[in-house]
Amino acid sequence: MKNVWTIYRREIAAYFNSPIAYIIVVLFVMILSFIFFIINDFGGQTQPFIRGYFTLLPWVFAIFIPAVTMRLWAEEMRAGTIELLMTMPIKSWEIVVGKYLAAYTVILICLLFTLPAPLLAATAVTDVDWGALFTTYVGAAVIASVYIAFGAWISTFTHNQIVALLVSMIVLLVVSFVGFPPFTLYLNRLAGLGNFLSWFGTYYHFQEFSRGLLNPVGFIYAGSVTVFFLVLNNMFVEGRKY
Amino acid sequence: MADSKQYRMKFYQTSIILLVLVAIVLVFLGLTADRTSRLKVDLSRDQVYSVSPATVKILKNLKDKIDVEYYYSKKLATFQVNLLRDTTDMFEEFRRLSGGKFQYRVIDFEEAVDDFAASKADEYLRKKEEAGADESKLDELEPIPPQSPMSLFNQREQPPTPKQVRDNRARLASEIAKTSKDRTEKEAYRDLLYKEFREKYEQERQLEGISAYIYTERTGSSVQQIEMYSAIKLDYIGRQSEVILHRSMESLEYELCHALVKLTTDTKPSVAFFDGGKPAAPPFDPRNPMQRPPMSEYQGIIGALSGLFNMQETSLKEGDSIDDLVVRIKKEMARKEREARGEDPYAEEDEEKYKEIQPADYQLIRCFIVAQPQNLNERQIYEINRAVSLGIPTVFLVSPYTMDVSEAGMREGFPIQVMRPGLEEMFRKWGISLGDEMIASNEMGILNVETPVNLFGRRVMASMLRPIACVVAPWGDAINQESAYTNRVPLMVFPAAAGLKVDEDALKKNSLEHETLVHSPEESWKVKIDPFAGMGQRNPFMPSQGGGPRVLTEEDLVQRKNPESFRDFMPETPLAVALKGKFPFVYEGESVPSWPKEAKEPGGGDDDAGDWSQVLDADDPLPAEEASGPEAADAADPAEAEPGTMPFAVEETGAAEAGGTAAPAAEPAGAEAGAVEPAEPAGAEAGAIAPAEPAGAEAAAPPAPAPAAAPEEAAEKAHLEPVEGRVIVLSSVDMLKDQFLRYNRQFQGYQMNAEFINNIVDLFGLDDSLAQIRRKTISSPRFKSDTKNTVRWIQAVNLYLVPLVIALIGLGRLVWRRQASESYERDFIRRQQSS
Repeated sequence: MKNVWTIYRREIAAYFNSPIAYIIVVLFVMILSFIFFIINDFGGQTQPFIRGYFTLLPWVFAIFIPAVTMRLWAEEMRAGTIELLMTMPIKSWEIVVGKYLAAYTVILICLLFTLPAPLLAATAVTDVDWGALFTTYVGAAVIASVYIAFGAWISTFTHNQIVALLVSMIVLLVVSFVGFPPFTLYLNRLAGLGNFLSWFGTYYHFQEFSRGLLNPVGFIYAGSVTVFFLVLNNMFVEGRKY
Repeated sequence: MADSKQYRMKFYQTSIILLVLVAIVLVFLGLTADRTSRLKVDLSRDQVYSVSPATVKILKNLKDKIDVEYYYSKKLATFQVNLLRDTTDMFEEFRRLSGGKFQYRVIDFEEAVDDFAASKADEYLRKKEEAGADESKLDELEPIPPQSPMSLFNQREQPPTPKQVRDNRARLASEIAKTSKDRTEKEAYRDLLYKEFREKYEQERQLEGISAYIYTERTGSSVQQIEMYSAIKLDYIGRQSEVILHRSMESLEYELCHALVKLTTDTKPSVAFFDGGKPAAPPFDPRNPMQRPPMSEYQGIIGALSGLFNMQETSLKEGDSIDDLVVRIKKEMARKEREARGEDPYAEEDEEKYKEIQPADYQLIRCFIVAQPQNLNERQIYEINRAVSLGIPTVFLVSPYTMDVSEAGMREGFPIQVMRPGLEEMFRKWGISLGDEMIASNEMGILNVETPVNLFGRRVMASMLRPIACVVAPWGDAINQESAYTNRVPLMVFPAAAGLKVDEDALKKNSLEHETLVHSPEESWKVKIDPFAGMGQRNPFMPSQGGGPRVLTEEDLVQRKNPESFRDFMPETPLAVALKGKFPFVYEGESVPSWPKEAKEPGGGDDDAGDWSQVLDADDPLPAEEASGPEAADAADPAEAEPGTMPFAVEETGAAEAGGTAAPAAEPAGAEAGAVEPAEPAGAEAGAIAPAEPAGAEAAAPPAPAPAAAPEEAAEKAHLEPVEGRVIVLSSVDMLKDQFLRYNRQFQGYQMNAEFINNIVDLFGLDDSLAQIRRKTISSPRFKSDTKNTVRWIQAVNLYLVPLVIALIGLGRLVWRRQASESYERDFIRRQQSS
């Protein structure tokens, strides 16, 4: 675990010693606030539901998380530091987990800076559903884990960060789209395929959380998918040794 | 090298096994996701996503398959974006809990219409080609719109024949083809056919109750009208479908369960309904065999409740008492049981066995509604008290006033009729009493008022909706949202209410718990009603005009009061109260009052109808009251009248003594009840204290208040061991009358009144199941007052300030790092130089 911590600190420093983490956090907060206050016109609503702040979160994540994960392996490969890393007395899974946790921390910081929006909005609104707000944050953290594991794995494919970014975005948008009601209904024509597939997408699970429900299955889903892609990630990294 | 290869092989094997295991877990969970919903923890504020135990009970008790179809539109209002998903989720939960008996289909209405019309049009064209010249073979396929049940009564609206429809279509197709360059006659024919099948499908669904509704969506800069479908149809083994118009998730669980109970209940719980103002049935007239018995003024509510309950109207007269009702219900149940066993339901059997009533048998009456009690006789009061003390949950609609809002009443300025329920003493002993002044408020309901309108220079009278102060409309905090009875009832209407007084000490002494369900709104006031107002203006040639108190002539009952200048607003007064406990039986140890002697129709007709000379019986105080002169006044003396006579009876007496003016209020009400003929002469001739008598009741000659000199010889001693019961007292007799509920489209409060009584009867009649579901609410967040600037400020903070702070932090860190780096470099160079 000591090695995981070392890698984690190194990655965190890499994020915050460059402007990238700050730009991501600023844009993330601005875009969510813009959607909530300007596009959805929070002030003009008759029933101002605060959890509406996260309505488009799966799609926003699908765009921002690749920006965090793109450099995890692509940068190492481009700079040639991966060889150095692989020769160190550290197991490959420790590097994978350390990098994953660092990226996850950046996203959690993004979520942390969104807190003023619902908290301040709650001062102007009656009957705030704090339970649903709490579970929405839990849900956001849960699906972020899935997206980061996915993005980190895709980053092992290429030396080019832009390629990693674009491929991750496309894949994560598809993952977000699976479970989206019109898509599900369309696929349901094929013997309920839509309902079955929706379970593998993040939309369905995030919606459960955002309604105020803590579904253990949602945690198991996120845990399984995260472990699955971290194992794949490890396989790809370990494969480079030989 | 071999070691490396082995290591690599082992690594990949382990990884692949791990991946496969994780994938298996994922697929397994995906396949069983439907069955895991019970593991969810509902942290939402209102616990809306947890199905109530009552719902689980209802679903588990389903005996047969329920087919559910949800018709929806893809384009929904913004607030309904999740409606489809949430509805499907709930259906899925219901399906699971019912063990698969709740089967559902989700149908995109527009798609279904298109599919239906396209397939039918193609089929029609194919058959048309096969039929060739013999087009009569197509008759069955013609898309003739279905006829509504109402149109069957309209002889002028004859449906077109298949040939007419066909010929018309061919003619139109030909015309279109001639005028259009890009469409052949065949294409135009198909298009027309397609359109007709579309209309047919839509009309068929409409007849089932599935129709589009328009929602006006307002956003910051635009107003958009959205036409959408969202309706749920439930079918159960050959019974008539139930349709729910589904707008939000808030009440869906309740509505589904309500429909399920309604569809699947074999034996409906019985609800007894007593309407004290309902005219008795007239004698059978052989010249008019189709004559219908008079209807209750509460027929709408009775009809609405009869969907779920076995509504038993009772007149509380000899032969139609509570015991008789219980016997009737027992007989009916036995008949149904025989029918279920495949035996002859009408087989002769020993009637006596039903007449033995056990205390538990009274629970067969799940709810008892006593509406507008008026001049109840001693035996009727005894019956009502006994029912309550025996634990039959009872609802009272009781008030000293009622107003006539019929067409005739509207022209008269809404005459107020003063009522004498007769239950006041019983209520007083329990700890409740009726107010004696009418309540008016700045929170008003609406009524149609005849108003002069200038039309092309002429002054004509037109009826227009207008708020009226004595139609009190409590809302918000005035309605107890914690109570299951009033839960989800945001607004109500209490016309001509006098409010209730709660005697805490008496209630405590009787160990009765009470809960105020509705109280008067903040800006309300009391208005004293003079029963003889306007008597001098009576028109001798048109007895139906003038005289008696009227709403529109009393400014205090109509106009709003300016809260800044008016200082006599009353404190909160209960308008509806729920009581619980063992209700004292006020007749305990006393002689059981005998049934009053009824006037007999010489021809053997109905007891209460017909010959008015019979009604004017010396033993009967009611006719005596109607007689003019001092005798009448004596007879009406409150001291000698039944217990609980209203204080205004004294005034009546005084007035009668003073000269005996005619009964003004009796006539309009009589006119409404369709009993003008007998009522008016009686009122006009008697000219006494008829304000206390309902003309309808007068016309039908109800039994008068029981004479104190009731025969003692056969009197047995009343004894009863009170059991736990529930009572709800509503201080308006008008709030559920059809005449008021007809305004439900114009004012939501009337609709909510119906919802309220539905709540109560559900709660009493359906063993709390539906009421438990009803308790759940979705709170609707709203902006606090004066938060417009706050929201702008919050928006600015989140859009600009928070990102700016983050950017500054980043910038600060970069600057600090640069400085640290430069300082490190300087130190390094210095160290180098010094070394």
